[in-house]
Amino acid sequence: MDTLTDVTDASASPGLPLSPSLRRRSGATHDAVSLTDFAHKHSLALTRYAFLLCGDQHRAEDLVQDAFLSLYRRFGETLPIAAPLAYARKTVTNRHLAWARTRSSGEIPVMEVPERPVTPHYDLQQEALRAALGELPDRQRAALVMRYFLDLPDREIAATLSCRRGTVRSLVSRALSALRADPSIEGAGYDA
Amino acid sequence: MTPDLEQRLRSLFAQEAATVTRPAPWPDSAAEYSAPGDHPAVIAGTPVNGREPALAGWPADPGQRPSGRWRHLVPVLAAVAVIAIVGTVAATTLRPTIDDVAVADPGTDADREETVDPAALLTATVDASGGIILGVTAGGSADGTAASTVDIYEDALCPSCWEFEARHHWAIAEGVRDGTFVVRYRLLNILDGTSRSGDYSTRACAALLSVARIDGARPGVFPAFHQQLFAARHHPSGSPGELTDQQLADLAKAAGASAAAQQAIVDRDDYQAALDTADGNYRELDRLHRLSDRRMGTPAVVAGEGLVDPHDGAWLERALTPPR
Repeated sequence: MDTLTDVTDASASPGLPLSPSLRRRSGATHDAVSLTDFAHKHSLALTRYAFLLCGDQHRAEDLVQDAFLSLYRRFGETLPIAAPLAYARKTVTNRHLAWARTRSSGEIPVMEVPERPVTPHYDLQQEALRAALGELPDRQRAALVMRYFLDLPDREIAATLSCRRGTVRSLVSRALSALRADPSIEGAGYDA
Repeated sequence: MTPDLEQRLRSLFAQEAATVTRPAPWPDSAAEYSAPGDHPAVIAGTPVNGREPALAGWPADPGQRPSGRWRHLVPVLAAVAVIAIVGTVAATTLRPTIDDVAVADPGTDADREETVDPAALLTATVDASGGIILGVTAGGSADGTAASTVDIYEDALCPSCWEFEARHHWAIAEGVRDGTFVVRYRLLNILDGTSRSGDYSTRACAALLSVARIDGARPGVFPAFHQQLFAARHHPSGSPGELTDQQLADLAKAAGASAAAQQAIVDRDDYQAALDTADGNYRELDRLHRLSDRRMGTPAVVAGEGLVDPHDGAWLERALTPPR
């Protein structure tokens, strides 16, 4: 399975106006990667990542399409940057967080949550954990996804969220504390 | 034993992610992309490669958009223009109203004859609850047995309080000097949250306490500092600004405070006392508002047992009329 963790897979062309974190990695010069290959190789993994951020497959696909489009508009058909995957992941994350900030105007609160279809793997405990994840602030959830799904080091998470490493640790720690404090998640507490 | 939370998160994420399959419209093979135009990321009607630069000075590199810095320049300039316009309008409409009442008030101050500020004679003492009581030294006609006490509740960040002081400080000082009443300032910090530093009201209260405590016995110092602190010109028009500790100390110096008092302000010697008194004053004011039908707010004037309307021009008379 393709993953999102191979951040240094691609080419580099020093001197382009990139963010410092991306520029730092562009030490060696490789052949530029084509956007087509890049999209084909990583679209599924990026979509899965976006899905874990937002919980909606259609929105996840939109986020990834937007990320590819912004890559294309910025660089054209070839990507002369060291870590296009980190770039795309950051775009997906930023767009999701920006959308999440404004969605209060579009979200309709309901008295009772509509019933969800029961999947074959239905697990009451997993369901409670999933619901609790949905309640977390978006940046905290994004940090959890990057750490526990992508297994990214804090340095990469910090670059994606545009924050310091200490902030990443605090986001993750607060998210875990909130989950542990949730009474509906059995056995998550420290004393379990 | 239940697996630990981190392990459960890993398995949940993996399980959830596995439900996402490759989107249908995306070809399975890279070979199916025949031309850049067929790229799934390209939305119809957005030719990018080879287009003309939109503005002179932007990079002519085909396919490269202007850098983020330039792209954001226009909205930033627009925002600056809007702020400038709003600021100008606010400066021309708000400032005169505050300054006008300071120099010529048609109500209570219209008939004043003295040119010497009566506040120059006033001293200040701090009572046990942190209230600052204005008194007089020789020169005034008060004998220390004034008929009534007027409590004035203020927050240093409250524009209404600035206006109240600008409008009435002369009449207040005259009343105290002549022994008509005693004024006790009771400071609040309810607007701390609106200040950039998060505690300007408390710091201002502490500075007032320091000056009253250290230099209260010297006539005119505390009233001058208090008046300066509540002068709207120290705060940017439109939004409540704030002063740093050093600026507070400089203001005290300009009002004639001693070096010890200035140092006490910078060192925040009375910060805890300010927190305590503001807390007590808030509770007292809250209690009084519960007894009346008035909405909680500053400035608040309490004479005897009851609240009087500070926005009423005749509030002093009302404050001095014994409750029936």
